[in-house]
Amino acid sequence: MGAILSPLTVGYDWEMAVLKKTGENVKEKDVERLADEIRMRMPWAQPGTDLELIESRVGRVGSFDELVRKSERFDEELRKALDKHGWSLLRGGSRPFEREPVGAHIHVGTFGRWEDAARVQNGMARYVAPLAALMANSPVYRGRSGDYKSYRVASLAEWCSVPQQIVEPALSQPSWGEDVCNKLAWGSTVELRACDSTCSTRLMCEVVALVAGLMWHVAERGEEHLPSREDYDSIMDNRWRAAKYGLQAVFVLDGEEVAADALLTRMVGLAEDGMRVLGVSGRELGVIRSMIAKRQTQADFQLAVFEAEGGDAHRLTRTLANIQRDTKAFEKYLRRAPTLPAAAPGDHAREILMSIGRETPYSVLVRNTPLSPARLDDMLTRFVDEGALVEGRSEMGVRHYTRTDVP
Amino acid sequence: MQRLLAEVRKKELERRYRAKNGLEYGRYTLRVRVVGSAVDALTVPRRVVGRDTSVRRDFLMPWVVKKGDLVALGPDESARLLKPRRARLAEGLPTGACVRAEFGDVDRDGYKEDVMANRFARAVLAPHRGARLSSLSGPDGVDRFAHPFDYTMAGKYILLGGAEQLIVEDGSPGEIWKSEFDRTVDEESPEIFEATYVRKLKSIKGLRVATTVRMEPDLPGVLGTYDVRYDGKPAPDEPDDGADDSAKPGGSERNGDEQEKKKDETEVTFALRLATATPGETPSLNVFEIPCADGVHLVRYHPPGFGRRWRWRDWRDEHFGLRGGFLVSRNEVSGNVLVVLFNGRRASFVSVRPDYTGPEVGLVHRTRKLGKGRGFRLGVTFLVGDAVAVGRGSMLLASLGSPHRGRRPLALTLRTGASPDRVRARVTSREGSEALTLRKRSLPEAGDVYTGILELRRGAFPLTVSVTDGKVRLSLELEG
Repeated sequence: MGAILSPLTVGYDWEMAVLKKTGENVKEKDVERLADEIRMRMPWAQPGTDLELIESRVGRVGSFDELVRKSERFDEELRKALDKHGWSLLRGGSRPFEREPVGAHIHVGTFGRWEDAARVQNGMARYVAPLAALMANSPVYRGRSGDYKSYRVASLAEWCSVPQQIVEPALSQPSWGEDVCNKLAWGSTVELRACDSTCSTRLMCEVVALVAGLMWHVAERGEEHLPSREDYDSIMDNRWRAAKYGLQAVFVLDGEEVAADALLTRMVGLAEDGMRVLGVSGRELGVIRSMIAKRQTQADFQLAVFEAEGGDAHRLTRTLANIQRDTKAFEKYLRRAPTLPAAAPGDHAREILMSIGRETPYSVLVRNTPLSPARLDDMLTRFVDEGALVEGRSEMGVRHYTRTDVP
Repeated sequence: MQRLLAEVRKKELERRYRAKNGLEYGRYTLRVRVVGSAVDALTVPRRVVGRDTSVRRDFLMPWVVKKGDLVALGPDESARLLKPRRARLAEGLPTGACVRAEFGDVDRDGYKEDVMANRFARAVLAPHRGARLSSLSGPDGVDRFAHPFDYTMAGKYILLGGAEQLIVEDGSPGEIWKSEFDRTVDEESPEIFEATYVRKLKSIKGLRVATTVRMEPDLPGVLGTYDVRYDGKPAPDEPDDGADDSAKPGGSERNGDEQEKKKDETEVTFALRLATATPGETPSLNVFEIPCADGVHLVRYHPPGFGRRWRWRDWRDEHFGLRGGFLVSRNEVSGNVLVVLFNGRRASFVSVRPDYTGPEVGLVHRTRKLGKGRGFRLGVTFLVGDAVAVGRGSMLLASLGSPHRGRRPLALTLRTGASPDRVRARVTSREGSEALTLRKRSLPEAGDVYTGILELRRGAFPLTVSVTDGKVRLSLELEG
C-alpha cells in the first residue's frame, strides 16, 4: 500500500451512445429508461445518463479482476436490455454525423490530501498525449473526417476535456473539465478525461490499470511535477499530435523526440508497481501491447470501415452498430491489421494560420488549439511580424486577425 | 437530403480484395428492402416502404452483414427510389418579365416542391417541411441559404436550413419545422404566382398557421405573409384533428368549462429561423448588417472550428431597437446578398449566432395575445441581389437579372424611412449616366420600398448606383 494512494482504487464514467434502428441517437428520456432498467438488475452498476448518452459506472473497484468481471457483466446486461428495445450500442469518441463527442473518464483514488492530488494532476500532464493517442477513436465527427484520428481531443471535447493548467498545489482550487482534474472534493480521486470512449471492454480495463499505475508512480515516486514553460508548450503540442496521428505520432518530451509507441512502452514499465497493487502486470495488457506493436488504434479500425462506406458518415454509423455487436471486434481487427509507420509531424502553426479568415476573433482561435494562450500570442505576433496576418481590435477592444492573403 | 433505411434480404459476393491499407475487403451485391426513413424525424412517402432494390457494398472482412441486418442507403441510392427520374424542371431563370412556376420533386426526397422563378430570382418552397423557403438564388445560381443538416437536438431536431417559421410557445423544437402543410395555389392571376400553405398545429390546440408566398415578375425575390389565427380550444366532446388519444372528456375538464371559456386565449410569438451564409473558401467573408437605433450592427460569421456546442446566451447575439425593418446577409467578396424586409414595429429583435453552423439568424416578432377567433398577419419579403448599400434605417439593393439579347436587367430596391411617392436614382458607367425613377410600392405587411428596373447594355460594367434624394444618401458599385 502506498502512502498517498491508500487504498488504490479505480473507476470510470464510460459514455456510450445508444442508437435507434436508423443509426441516430435515441432521446434522453429513452436513455433514462434504459439506465433505470439496468440499475434494477444490477444495483452495484450505477449506470446513469449524460445528456442523451448512457454512462457505465462500475463503482469503486480495488482489483483488476474485479474491474474486468464487473465491466463484462455490465456489457452483457446492457446488450440484453438494448436488444429488448431494438436499439444498438455505439462505443466511440464520436457519433459520426451528430452531436457532441463521447468520452471515457477514468478515476483513480484514494487521495487523502488536496496537495497530493494536485501534484499528481500536474505530474500526469506529460502522459495525457500518449494516452489520448492510444485511445484515439473519433476520426469521423459531425460529418467531418480526414484531419484527425481523434476529433474529440482536437475539439477539446467541445469544452469537456480541455488542456489542463499547471497549478501551484497550495494555491489551487477545484475545477472541472480539464484533461486531468483534481476531484478530491468530489470523490477523493484524480480524473483523466482525455480518452475517447472505446469499443473494447478489455481495452478499457487495461487502460484504467495503466492510468492507475501511472498515477501511483507519479504520486509515490515524488517526481518533479511542475514542467518548465518549454516543456508545457511541448506537452500541449503533443496533445495536438496525439489527436492527429494516434499511435503514429512522434512526440517531444523533455526536449527530445520520442515515438508514441516507444513512450507508451516506457509508461507501461513505469506503471508496473502500481498495477501490481491492482493485481495485474504489464505483460497482461495484451490489447495495449498489440496496439503499440502495430501503431494501430480504434480510429484506424473506424477509418478502414469508413473507406468501405464511401466516406458516408450515416452509412458508417449504421455499419459500426452492426460490427459492434461483436464484442471482440477490435481485438480481431488488431490481429489482421498491418503495422503502420510513424508519421512525421505536420505544421501545427500553419494549421492555426489557415484557420484564420477575416477578423477572426482571438476567442475563436483560443478554442481551436490546445496551445496555451501565452504560446498562441507569441505565434500570432510572429505571423504579424512576418506579414501573414494583420491584427485589429473590435469596438469592444477584442483582438481579431485577418490573413493578408484573404481577398 | 433524404435517406432510407433498408433490411438485407440477400447478399452475393462479387469478389474479395486487399486494399491499399493492407486490409481485406469483400465486395457484395445486396438485395435490400426499404423499411422506412433513415432520418427518424423526417417522413418518407409510404409508397417507397417495402420496395426492394439492389446496392453494392464493400465490407471489411470478416464483418459482412447478415440477412435481416439494417443498412443506411446513401443519398443517391435513396433518390433512385424516391424519385427515379430527375424532375423535368426548367434550368436557369426565364428571360422577360414573367413568372415561371413548377411543382416538382426538385431535391428527389419523394415530395414535391414549389419552384418559382422570374428573371431575377429562383425560389423553392417545401410544403412538406414546414412550408419553409428552402432555397433562394439569383441568375448566378448561388443559393443565399445554407443547408447544414445539423443534428442539434438528439432525436428531436435537425437544422435543415433555408428559412423556417416557428412559434416560440410551441417549445423546442416545436412541430412546424418538419410538418406537412396543405397547399393551395391561386390560379386567378396569371402574371404572378401565389401559393398558400396551411397547418393546424397539434401541439397548440386551436392554433392555425397559413403561409402565403408570392412571386411577381419584376421583384427580385418572394413576398411572404404569415397568418396566425387562434380558433379556440376544442370543446371536450368535439372531435379534434390533433386530439391526444389518451385524453378523456369529463371530470375536472367539464367542471372548469365556465372558467375556461373566459380565459380562452393564447400567447403567440412568431419567429423565423434563417440559415444564411454563402459558400466559399473563407466563411468569415459572410457578414450580417442589422440597422438598430444605435447604428448599423455588423456581425461577421466565424464558423465553429469544431462542432456546435451549447453555450451560454451572449447578450451581443441579440439586436434590439431595430430600425428600418430589414436585415442584410452578404458576402464581402462575391457580393451575393440576401435582404430580409419586415415590419420593424412588429419585430422584437434579430438574433445572430455567428459561431453556429449555418449560421443562424433569428427574426423574432413581438408576442401577441390572441383570443378565440382572433389572429394577426405578418409579412416578410426575401430579396436576392448582387450589391447593397446600408445606411441608418435605409438600404439600396442592386439585383442583376438574366441576360437577354445583349441586355441585362438591373432591378433597384430602396428602403428608406422617408416616404415620398418616388425617388430618383442615378446609374453611372463608362458609357455615361442615366437617371431612373424608383416608384413606391407596398410589400404586404412589411412596409414600403421603392423599385425600378433599368436595361443595361453589355459594356455597362462596372457601374455605380447612387440615390441622393432628400435625406437618403446611398451609393453602391457593381462589377457585373
